[in-house]
This record gives sequence, structure tokens and C-alpha cells, in this order.
Amino acid sequence: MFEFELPERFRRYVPLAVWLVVALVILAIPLKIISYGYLPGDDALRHCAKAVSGKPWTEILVLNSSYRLDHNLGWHALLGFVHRATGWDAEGLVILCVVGLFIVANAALWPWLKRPEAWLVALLASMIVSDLPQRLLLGRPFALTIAALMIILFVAQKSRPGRINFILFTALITFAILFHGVWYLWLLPVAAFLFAGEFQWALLLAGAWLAGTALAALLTGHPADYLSQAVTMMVGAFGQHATSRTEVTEFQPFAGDILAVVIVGALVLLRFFLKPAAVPFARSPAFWLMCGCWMLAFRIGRFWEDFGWPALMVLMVTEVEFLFLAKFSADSAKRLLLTLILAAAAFLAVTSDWNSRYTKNLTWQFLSVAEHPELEGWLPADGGILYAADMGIFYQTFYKNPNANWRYILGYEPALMPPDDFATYHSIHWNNGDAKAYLPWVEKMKPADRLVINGGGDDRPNIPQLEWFYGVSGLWIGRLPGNTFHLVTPR
Amino acid sequence: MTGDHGNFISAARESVRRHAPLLVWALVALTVVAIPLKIIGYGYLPGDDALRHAAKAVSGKPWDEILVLGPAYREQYFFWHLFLRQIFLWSHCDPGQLVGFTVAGLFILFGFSPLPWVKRPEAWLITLTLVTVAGGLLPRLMLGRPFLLTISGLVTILCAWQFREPSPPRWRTLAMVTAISAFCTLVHGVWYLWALPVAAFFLAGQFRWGILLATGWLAGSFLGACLTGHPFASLFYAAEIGRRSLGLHLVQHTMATEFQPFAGDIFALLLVAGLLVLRCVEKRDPLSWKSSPVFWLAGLGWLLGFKAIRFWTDWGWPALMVLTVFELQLLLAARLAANSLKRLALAGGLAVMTYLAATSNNDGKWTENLSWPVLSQDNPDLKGWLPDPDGIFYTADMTIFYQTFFRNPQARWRYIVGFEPALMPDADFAVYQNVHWNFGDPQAYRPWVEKMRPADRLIFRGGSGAVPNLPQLEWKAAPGFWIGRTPRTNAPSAQ
Repeated sequence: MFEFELPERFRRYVPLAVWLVVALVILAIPLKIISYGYLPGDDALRHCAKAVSGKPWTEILVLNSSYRLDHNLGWHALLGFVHRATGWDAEGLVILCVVGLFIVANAALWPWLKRPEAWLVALLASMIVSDLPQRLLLGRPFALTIAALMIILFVAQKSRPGRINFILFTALITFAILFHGVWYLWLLPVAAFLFAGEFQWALLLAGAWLAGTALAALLTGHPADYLSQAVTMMVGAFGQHATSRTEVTEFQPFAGDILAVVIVGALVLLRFFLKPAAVPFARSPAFWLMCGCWMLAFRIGRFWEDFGWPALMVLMVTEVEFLFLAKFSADSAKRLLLTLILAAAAFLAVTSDWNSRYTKNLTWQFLSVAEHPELEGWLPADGGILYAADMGIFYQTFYKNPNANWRYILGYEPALMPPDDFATYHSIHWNNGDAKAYLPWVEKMKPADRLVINGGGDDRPNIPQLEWFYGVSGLWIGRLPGNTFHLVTPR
Repeated sequence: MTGDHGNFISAARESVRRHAPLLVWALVALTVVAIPLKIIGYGYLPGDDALRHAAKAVSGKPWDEILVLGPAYREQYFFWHLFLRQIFLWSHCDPGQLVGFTVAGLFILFGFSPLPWVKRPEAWLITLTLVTVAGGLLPRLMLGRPFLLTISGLVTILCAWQFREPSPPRWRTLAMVTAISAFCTLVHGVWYLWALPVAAFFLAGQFRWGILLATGWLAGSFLGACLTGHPFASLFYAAEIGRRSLGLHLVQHTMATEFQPFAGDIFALLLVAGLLVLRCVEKRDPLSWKSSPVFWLAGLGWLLGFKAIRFWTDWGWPALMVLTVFELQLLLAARLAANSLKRLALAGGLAVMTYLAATSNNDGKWTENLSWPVLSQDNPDLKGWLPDPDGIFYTADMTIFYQTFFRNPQARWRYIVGFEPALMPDADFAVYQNVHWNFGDPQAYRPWVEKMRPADRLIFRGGSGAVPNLPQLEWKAAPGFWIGRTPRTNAPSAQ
């Protein structure tokens, strides 16, 4: 089969066919996953609901005094523009984000790749070993930061520092910071270039980082607030938790990701046997960034997921591209066959619904009167507050009720809560959800407010001060007794 | 004296050396036999179909007296059940002994299937250890189910190719392939999946072997189907049940576990990488695998494992095992003479290693069943709480069916879900799917509760904690279960 060769007149179409296959599979993957009915579980929902609501966060969340500005200002402005231009609702925007951002992150390196099929190998490996491709399907703007980072690392391997690259890097960093916000984390790749001994590149990147940060901050119209808010958020997100257990999952430390270490070992072996003319790992900023983030992830897992893994993917693509260049001529049938096999493998691996990873949300039941009329009177009234210690309840409820006139005590970041509410939230998680820990919230609840707690139909919360309704599967809603709103008999 | 002693030692050593190949064979065979016997010695019972096959043979009843079946049903394993029934009638064993027989017999058959084709059988011991440690496949090989016949047939055919490579196939090979295909179709049924190895031979460019395998497969499938007495219907039904088992489910988490996708089995990939490195170190061309149907079948099985894990466990892994054993055989042959004492010592060490790895009861995998809670008619505490004659045993948990039918093969009730949800009547399948869709929420059981008669029972796993939130029924907490029935007068609502 592999010995088959194409007639001469067809061979020149092989590179084009390979490009088409790779492009098609990268397009088909998110479309297939969306066709399952997939919805991401976290921030994408609130980004899109925010864009649809058109309201500032102060009208959506109960916030503390440290909050000054939306740290995803550019992203919400862009989604708001799309919403107004197209009339798409939150669901339409989420689909756009999931599909669009997956494609952007996976197509980022194409203009610099001689063998685009090498990307499929990296995608396949990362899907089997890590959850990075799944993270790229979350529809969140960090995918833009990942795309920009991979481009910078890859371009720096393939070209020399110069004016064009400075402009390119500045533009990439500007967009990443405008949409994603965390400007200070770009210090990591700068440090990686320094460790690799690439001083000229480090200088160029540092300049691009400073210029890009300034440019993005200016574009928000509130440069000082935008930059300081990002730092304040970071300090609050990590500084207020007594243990990492009560932090957001993606901020919790990782366990070392041994399989990623095995992949690095495999790359070293590949080098040993192939002896490619590539820069040694010790001179590779991608390698240093990966190592640095692997170490930092023992404190905060996101260093590895958002900076370390993308750097490892750049290393993989680089090595595999060398392998393919050495073993397959550009216009051979072997190359086309290999690409088809890789495309099938990548498609099947990424779209496989293992462990219901793409269909878990189909069984979600949302707190929405439109979908569950029996909830009438059991959602917060105008001006009320929805108390919950589970961020998932905020994401899903806000997604389904973007124009509701209540606020949420807990939104996308606990560090933004007023201090006494954060103390209650922290106590709830510290005590693994014990009902008694909710008492400070129960005591200050008004008739318009509601308390929502996760639990099965047999597990009525042990808070007798409130009357309870098993609203939808898995959620109990509590309100003050003698509520004037009409009452539905609990099941 | 010293001279005699020296001569004696030298003669003994020479004798051992002469018999080393035979001793290695004996060690390997002994290990393959000892593993299942030791595991059965723990009191091990597999968790799924082997139980119902044995109970069916003991009961002597047709499936429509055991299960509530939809119109799609036909018996698929009649030959296997006939075989087990004859053993039961001949030996008067109990269902547990019948299960032990199938577990040990099928594992030994599988364990011996590559041995006629390998020159260094100790390589098979290493492979078995790798499969145990890296693949976690051993519990599947101990399930005592007829798919092990298919796997054994597959391993035999792949080994025959490896053994004869690069020679063209012979007529004798065609006869063997036809016989294997016929037997597997007769006993296991899924004839259509043999298209996978056929495709692998063509992908590898082994066209003569591919044509031979395709011919043997088609002839054997038809022959096997003829032996069922319903040649066309049985072939059609096997394909239809496959279609229903996968096609009726809206999402994969409601399917039987073995039809759900896998996550990529990174340890198998590491094994392949290790074999590649071995090839490079031994200065053999790693790309020569491209003309190996064994490699292609492993690859195909791996790819399709992202759709349903059985492609990987039943077709991909066996192919990878054959690939591994022949790679290791080359290594061993290059390093050790066939009659060397070192080889014998190595085989002894490998036999101990394989035996200990395979029979290790880590995580209680071989003894988990000893603490299974049991619903048995013989338990006086359950009097009145198991279905009455002609009643229906409602549950959405297939393991409850397997274990309860195994303990009560002669009971006169029927089960709403048996060994395959796709065989249920459509309305009941909808309830079953809804229960799993909602991750077991008691409210999803309502349609069953509404049609329950006094003779019927609804069973949940549990038995401690809160009573199931279905107040329409009265409940009894049996160890490990909640049993619900329609309310009786003078009966407690929950115990």
C-alpha cells in the first residue's frame, strides 16, 4: 500500500491536497462536537450572556470595592458587536466562540509550517495525553493568548529578529491582552528567551510586550485601571485562600503530568535517532518555557495548561516536521496517505465522546422559568440576589437569564465578592458544602433573594429557616417562608 | 571420584541443555494453565455475560421465558448454550463451576493460540506480563465469554501469517481460516467484524493473503450460519443487533460500557514506541511494519477504539500482542541459543513473573465478587420481596440481572433488562435510556412504577441512606439493594 506512487501529473497536487485535508479536519472537529449539543461549562457562557445583556458587571454581580473595570473588556465588546450585528442569542455566540477559537488556536502555526500534517500529530498526542484540545474547545479568550504564544515561539525558531517580527509580536500581544487581559504573564516567555540565551529575541519580545500592553490598555480607554485591575484580580484570586482546595479548579496545582514528561523523553529519543539540524533543546525558548511552566504548575496548574503545554506542542510540531521532511518527499503518495490516516485519527480522537465529555451538558437543567414554568416564584425577584457557592450555578443561570433583574453573589471569580461574603463562600468550601456554613447568607436574605444548593431529590438541605423547592434535577432552591410570591408545592 | 562427579554434573548439564527447549515449552504451558486455576481458586466470578450464559444453560429455558423481549430478539449464542447445557447435564455441576470451567477453558485456549507458531514461547510470557501491567487487559481475558474464541482465532491467523511471512499462503491455510471463521460465527456470532483483519491485510499490501482471508471469512461465515439452521437470518440478525446496540443510543454514556469510547490507551502507545526503539537499537528498519497486517490491525483497532472500546480490546490489543511476541522472539533468538541454560533460567524467571503479575489480586480485582450482595430466593429475609411467579424484575442496572439470574436460574420471573438493552421492547428501552440519561434519577423510573403489578418488583443498588424518592412504592432495604413493590396492606413502608 505504501509503495504505491501517484502518476507524475497528480503529484504536484499532493501538497495542496494535504493542506485541504488538514484544514478540513480542523474545521470538522469543532463542528462535529457542536453537533452533539455540546456547551462548555464555564466562562464562555458568561462572556456570551454578558454580551447579550449589555449590562456592566456591577449590575450582574455583587462586587467588592476592588472591582473597577471588566478585565475582558475587548472580548465583551467584540461579542456585543457580533450580537448586535447578527441578532444571535447567547447560544449562537457560544457556538461561534467554541468553533472560532478552536480553529484560530489550531490554525495559528499554519503559515509557518512546511508540513501542516505535523500539527495533526501534535494535536493527536496532546488529546491522548492531556486535556489541552478540550480546553481549546471551552470558547474562552485564553485560546487567543495560546495562539499568539505558539506563533511567537515558532517564528522565533524559524527566523531572525527584525522589524517585521517586532510588529507581528506587538500586534499579537496587543490582541491577546485586549481580549484576555493577563498582561503580566507575558513575562514568562520573555524569561524563557533569556534562559535560552536568545538575548536579541528576548529584547525584541520584551519591547513588543511593553508596547502591546500599552497599546491594548489605551484601546480600552482606561489604561491605568485596566492594567491594575488584572493585577488586583490575580492577587485576590490567590491571596485569599487558606488552602488550594477552595480555589477555582484551574488554579489548583497539578500532579506533575508524567505523560507529558514521557512525550519530552520521546522527543529526545527522536533527536537521538534522527539527528536533525534543529537548534538544541538548551537553546530553544519553547523548551525553557515548557520547563519553567512545568515547575510553576506545582503551585498553579494554569501555568502548565496555558503556557507549558502550548510550548510543548511547538516543540512537538518542530520535531515531527523535521521527521516528515527527512522521510517523505513533499509530493509523494506516502505523504498523502499518512496525512489521511493522521486526519482520521485526530478527528476520531478529538471528537470521541469519552466519559461523556461533550454530552454531559445535555442533562443540565437550567433555572429558567421559560424552560420550567414551575419555577415561577422560585427565582429571585427584581433587585434580589441569587446566593450560591457553586460557580456552575452562576454560569448556567446567567446564560439562560442574561436579562434578569437580579444579581449573583458569586460570579466568575470569588475574589471579586465582598469580604464577608467571600468569608462565607470560603467557609462553605472549607467545610465541603456543609449546610451550617450557609447561615450568614441565610440570615441576611431578603424576600427577593434565593439560595440555591446542589443536591439530589432525596437530600433536602438542612436549613429549616428557609422553605425549599426541588426546582430542577440536582438543585434545591430556598427562600424565606411566607413569601408573597405564589408558591408551588414541593415535590 | 572427582572425575566421576565431574562427569555426572557435566552429563546432567548436557541432558538439561538438550531438553531445554522442551522444558521451556513445559514452563510456558504450565504458566498458562496455572494462571486461571489460581484466579478461580480465589473464588473469582466474572461480572457479566459468563454468569448469564451459565445460568441459561442450567435453567434450560429459552430467553423469552427469562427476559421481557422486544420484537428484535433472536438467539445468538445457541451453540454456546447448547454446549454448556450438555456439560451441565453430564456433570451436574452448579452454575459457579460452569463459569469456572468457561473462564479457565477460554483463557487456556487463548493462552495456547500463538504457541504452535512461535519458536521462543517465553516471548509470550513477556507479552502476557506487558498486557497485564500496561494494558490492564487480563481481567477481560478472564471474562469467560465466547468472544475469547474469536480472539483466539484471530491470534492464530495473525501468528500463521507471521510464521509464514513472506511466503504466499497455502490451501491448508485457507481451510484453517474457513474453519476458524465458521466456528467463531457459530459460537460468537459477530461475523462482520472479520472485515477488520481483511482490511488490515489489504492495507499492508498483502493482497494474496488478503484475498485468502476474505474468501475464508465469507465461506466460514456462511458455513457457521448454516450450522445454526438459519443461515441468512442469523447473519442478518448479528448485524442488526450490532446496529441496534450502537444506534439506539442518543449519547454514549447510556450504552453498555464496552461500547463506549476509550481515551487513547497511552500505555499501549508506549509499548509500540518501546518496540520501535528496540527495532532501532537492533538496527532493523522500523518502517517495515508498514507491510505488516498485524501492525495495521492494531492501528485500525486503536483508531476505532475512539468510537467503541471493543474494537481496541478485541481486535487491536490481540494484534498488538502478536506484534510484540514476534518482535521479542527476534530479540531473544539473537541473544540466547535455543538450548542454553541461560534461556531456561530466563524462562523460569519469566514464568514466575507472569504468574505473579497475572494472579496478583491488587485492588481486589479477583475477589470483588466475594462481597457482592446477593438477591436469592433462598434468603428467608427476602420472602415476599422478590418478584412473584410471572412477575417482572424491573431494574436499569444490567449487573443486577447478571448476578440475580446467576443466583436464581430457575426463578419464574422475567427481567426487564438483560444482557443487551437494545433487545427490550421500545417503550421500556425509552425508560431505560431516560434513567441513564438522568444518571439514575428516581423520577425517570416513573413509567415503570406506573405499570408495575403486585407480582413485579423494582430494584435499585443502595440499601442504605435515603429511601428512593418514589413514594408510590413501599420499600425494603436488603443488603446492597432497595427493593420496591406496590403497597400491600399491613406492610411497613420501609425497613
